[in-house]
This record gives sequence, structure tokens and C-alpha cells, in this order.
Amino acid sequence: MSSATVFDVTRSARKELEEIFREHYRFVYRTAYGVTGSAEDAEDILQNLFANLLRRELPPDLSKNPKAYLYRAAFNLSLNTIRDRVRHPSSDPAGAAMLPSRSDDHDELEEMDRRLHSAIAELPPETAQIVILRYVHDHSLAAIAELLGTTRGTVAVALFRARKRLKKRLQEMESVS
Amino acid sequence: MKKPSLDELLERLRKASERDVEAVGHRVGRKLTFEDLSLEAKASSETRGRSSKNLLWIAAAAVVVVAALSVAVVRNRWFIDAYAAAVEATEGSFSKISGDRTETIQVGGRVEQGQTLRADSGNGAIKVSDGSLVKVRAQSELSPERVDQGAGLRLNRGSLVVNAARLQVKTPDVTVSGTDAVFLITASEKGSRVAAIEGQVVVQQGMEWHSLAAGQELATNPRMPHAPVKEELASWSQVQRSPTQNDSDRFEVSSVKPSSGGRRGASGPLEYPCNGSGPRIDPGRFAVDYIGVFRLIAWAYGKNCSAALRSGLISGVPDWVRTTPYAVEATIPAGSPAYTVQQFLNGDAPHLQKMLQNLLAERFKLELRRDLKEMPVYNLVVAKDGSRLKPSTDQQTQGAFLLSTVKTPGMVRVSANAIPISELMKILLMASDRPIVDKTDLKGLFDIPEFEFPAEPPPITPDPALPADLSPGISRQTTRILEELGFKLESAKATTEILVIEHIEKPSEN
Repeated sequence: MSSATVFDVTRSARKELEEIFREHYRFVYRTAYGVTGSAEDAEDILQNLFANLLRRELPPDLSKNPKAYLYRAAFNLSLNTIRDRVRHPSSDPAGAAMLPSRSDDHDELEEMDRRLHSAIAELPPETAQIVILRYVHDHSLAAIAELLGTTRGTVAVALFRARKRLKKRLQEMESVS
Repeated sequence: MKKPSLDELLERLRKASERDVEAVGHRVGRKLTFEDLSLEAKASSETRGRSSKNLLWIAAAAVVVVAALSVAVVRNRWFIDAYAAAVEATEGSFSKISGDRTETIQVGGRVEQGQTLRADSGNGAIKVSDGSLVKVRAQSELSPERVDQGAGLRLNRGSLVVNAARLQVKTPDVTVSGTDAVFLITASEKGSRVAAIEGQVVVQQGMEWHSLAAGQELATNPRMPHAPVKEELASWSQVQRSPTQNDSDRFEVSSVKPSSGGRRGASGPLEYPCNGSGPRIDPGRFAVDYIGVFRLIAWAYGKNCSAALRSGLISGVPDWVRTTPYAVEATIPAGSPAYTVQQFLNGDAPHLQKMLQNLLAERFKLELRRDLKEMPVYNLVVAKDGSRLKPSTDQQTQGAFLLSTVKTPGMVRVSANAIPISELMKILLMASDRPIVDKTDLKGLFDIPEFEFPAEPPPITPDPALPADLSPGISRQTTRILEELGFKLESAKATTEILVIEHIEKPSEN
């Protein structure tokens, strides 16, 4: 099968996708980075998400509300990445040995970042989405509500609860470590 | 290093710099569509041996996105079907409004999303699909609705006391959410009021949200007239102190006097509050010769006397109410519905019961309030091998059970033909320390073979090793009989209405 066949999208659809990419790639990347905490994983997710869209007809929801569609897709891919990481942790002692030495504080901070990402991944998906929109993308409650098709009140309550849960979970992780 | 706060950690989620993001965009854009159509694995991915995963990711991503959307659609449909409320108790009359149709709704009736429940008279209580228990004040109007985080209610007007499992309540002004919390919420033309009673509730008002701890409250209009929460809750329990003005719910003439004895020779103080004569009901007359007031109250409010006594379903009872016998005679107004004695004893004689309630209010100055309480109960369930009750050949005419005394003290012999499971439960209630809830799902009439069992529950010997609600309140003998019939009792908790007597007096002379 030729590459032209594999990426058999119409010219106008590709054009549309290119426009969508230019407008939203930052948003998708930041979402993935916010959830996974890894620049490399976030870049993979951005690439794979759009590569997949290139291989098929553009979904109607993407044209209707590209931001909402992409956000959900990026979020789900990011969660999968984290879960995959938990199931198949990479161990690269050689690689670790090649890293420049870091201060203890830096390591501790990175460990806290990692715990936070893990704790966010444990939240109910709808709640985690709201947390990412709020703290990664700095969206207002109204903007979050509009993007997710819900109400400001729901967003406010979800954030309130999420913060409580995150705080509690981080304390638990700290006491175990 | 000083430990960063949650806010500081959350701020770090934004740490990807704009320059880095731009660089990523250029890199990925080049790979995807703009210059190179082939899916080129990144060098770092290959180094980590993840290039083969990329293709899997693409396939997985498509599945995940489609699955997520499918789940959302199915979930929403389930939400629409699941969001409803059921009426648990009413003191007066409740209506269900659906479009332009209004109908009376009884205890057990459901109000679905899109319908409105109105407490026309008297307070009441509903249970919402998430398990929240909500007390509804008279004259309130509300509707169940679906919200993204779970179950919700929209309070159009009136007041609710919400024992929230995970419930959101909206008024025109505020949205209130509580998880495992109790709060009072009022909606009126002047504004809304929320008072946290237990736990923590979150109130969203416009663009702001507030967290209320127990004892705190919020009103959208400071000029709203309101009493302290305690007084307001107490006013919910105000009893109808004067008899109903509806003449069809009152005896025409009534006589209440100390009893000189029953027809079978019983006299003197009652040894057991549920002893006494049975009622005589003719189309125009109600009479009972020898009865304690406790039993009268149980009859009037549709409670099984023994169960009410053992489980505390009627509380605040002075001693004389249990022991002093009275004779009651009353004339039923012409045109009133006619009931059998059995219907009356089953609590299926609403007009006659209402007349008795009014007689108690007038002659005994009875004032009581209804509360909802979670109490230990037994669920009667069919055992694994199925019920061994034989369906009666006569499924049309309900029979009765026969109780006869036997030589062994404290035991009774029971047999019955063509009775429903509810009648079997009445027998069991004689030997139970708590209410029994029929969870058998068995319909129709059954023949009960003759058996002996204790007339009273055994003394309960607390076992400190067991939680209180698992205390054995049923004798082994009863358990054995149930096993033979193909049933068993399971300890459970259920929300039960209890009557609390606030005031009662001995009757004046006729």
C-alpha cells in the first residue's frame, strides 16, 4: 500500500486539519504535558493524535468543536500513557547514570511533581479534566463549563472536591514514602 | 527545602515554556502533514524502543476516543432513566405534576426527571436516586434532575432538609452541593437560604462559591425573614393542633370512657399494650370495648402495634397510654367509604384511620410529629433453594391465619390457607424485635402448613463481639421454621417512619 493511499485524505480535509493543528497544537501539547509531566510523552501524544486523524475521515465533532474534541482525546491518551507507565515502568540504570547530577532539592521537587501527576490521574476523569483546564490552561470556570458542556456550579464543586482529594492523596503518598 | 503547597505544585503544571511549545509544534507539524507524510519515529523514541508502540498508540487512540464517546452517550441515557425520587412519607397530601396533568402521589410513588412534586399539605420525605434522604416542607415544590456530578433536585419554592449522599440542589439563586452532609435550603421570591447542619456544603452563587461548615449559613438576600435554624426545624414538626375542618374525616358522634372490661372478661390495666378487644366496624359505627391508647394510636397511623412497641416506632409514650384501657364508640358519617376489620387492621382504611386520628387529637389532645430514622430491620428473603410455600388453589379469595394456644407456655400454633406473604410477616412480627421488610417478591396467595413458634421474641442477650444491629432478635426456633418454609431473615437497615408523641392527655368526661 503506498503512502499516498495510507494517508488518503482529501485535500480539503487535510487543509482543515492543518488549520486545526496550527490553532490548537499548543493546547493539546500543554494538556498532555500537564497530565503526564513528560515533554517526550506529550510530544508523542500530540503527534499520534493528529496522525490518527490524518488516517481517517475527520469526525464531525472535530469540525463542530475542535477544542473540546481535541482536549478529550489528548486527555484520554495522556491517561493511557500514565497507566501504561504504571504497568510497564521503564528501568534504565545506564541512562540514569548518564544524567547530570542534580541537587537533592531538585529531585525532591520532581518527585512531588510525579506524585501530583499520579494523583491527578487517580481522580475521576471528568474531574481531572477540569483540574487540567484550570491549572494548566488557566481557564475560567465559565470557559471550562462551556468547553465541557456543563455548568459553572458543577465546575466549582468539582474543583473544590479535587483539591481536597489531591491534598489528601499527596499526604498519603508522602507518609508511605 | 520548604515543602511546596498544593497551589504551588499545581502552578508547576504550567511549566512548559512558550519556546519549548513552539519548537514541538514545528517539529510535529513537519512530521505530520506539511512536509513529510510518513510517520517518522522520533530518535529518542527509537532509542527507548518505543517506535513500534506508536502504531499501537494510533490504533489505541482511535479506540479510546470512540469508546469514551460511546460511554458518554450510554451513561447519559442511564442517567436520564436513573434520576428520580420516591416518596417515603407524607403527613398530608402530595401531588405529582407532569405537563398539564396533576395527580395525587402516595408513599412509594416516583417522581421522574421532568416532573414536579408538590407538597400540598403536610410535610413529607423523599428518597433520591443517589440515596439522599430529603425532608420536604409543606407548600414546597421541587423536581429531580440530572446533573453531571450525579443526582440533583431543583427547588422551585419552599424548604428542604437534605441528608445528602452526593446530591446537588438548585434554587433560582444558588447551587448547593453536599457529600455526606446535612443542610437546610429554602427558596422564596425574596431569595434563597442555605444552612449547613452537618458536614460541609459548597454553595455556588453567581460567579462565587462558598464553603459552609456545620453551623454556618448563607442568604442571598439579607432582608429575607428567617428564624434561627433550630427554631425553623422545630416549626417543621408543628402538629396540627386542631382537628381537621373536613367533616368527612371526623366521626359524627363519639364516646371515650374508661373501659369496664372486654367481652371475653378481660378487665383492669392492660398487661401488654397490644392486648385488648378487636374493633367492631359496621357501615355506620366503630367500636372497641377494651383497648389501650397505644394500640389506638398504632391503628390510627397504620402501624403494627407489636412492631411499634418493640422497635420504638411510637415513642414519647407515657405509662398510662400503655396500660389504661378505654372503650370507644363512634358514629361514622353516612356516605363514608366502608372497610372490613381486616382492611382497618392492615392499615388500608385511610378515611376511618383519619377519623380516629382526629378523635385522638380532640379527645386525648394528641400532638405528635413524624420523623424518619434509619433502624435495624430484617429483610425476609427467599433462601437459595427457593420457597417451599405451596401456592393456594384459590387465588381469588384471601383466607386468614389461625392462631391457637398450645400447652407449651409462650408458644402459639399457626396455620393458614390462601394468605399473602404480608400476612406471614404479621405472624413473624409477633416473634421479632424489629420490623420485617418483605423482599421475597412473591405474589399471590399461599397455604401455610401448621407450625408452632414463640409468641414473643426471646430476651436479647447482647453479644459484645457483635455490632448492635446484629443482635439476635429472632429465636432459633423461628429461624428453623423459616428455613423449612424456604425463607431466611437478613439483618439490614431501612429508613422507617417513627411517631414521636409530643403531648397527650387523659380524656375529659364525654
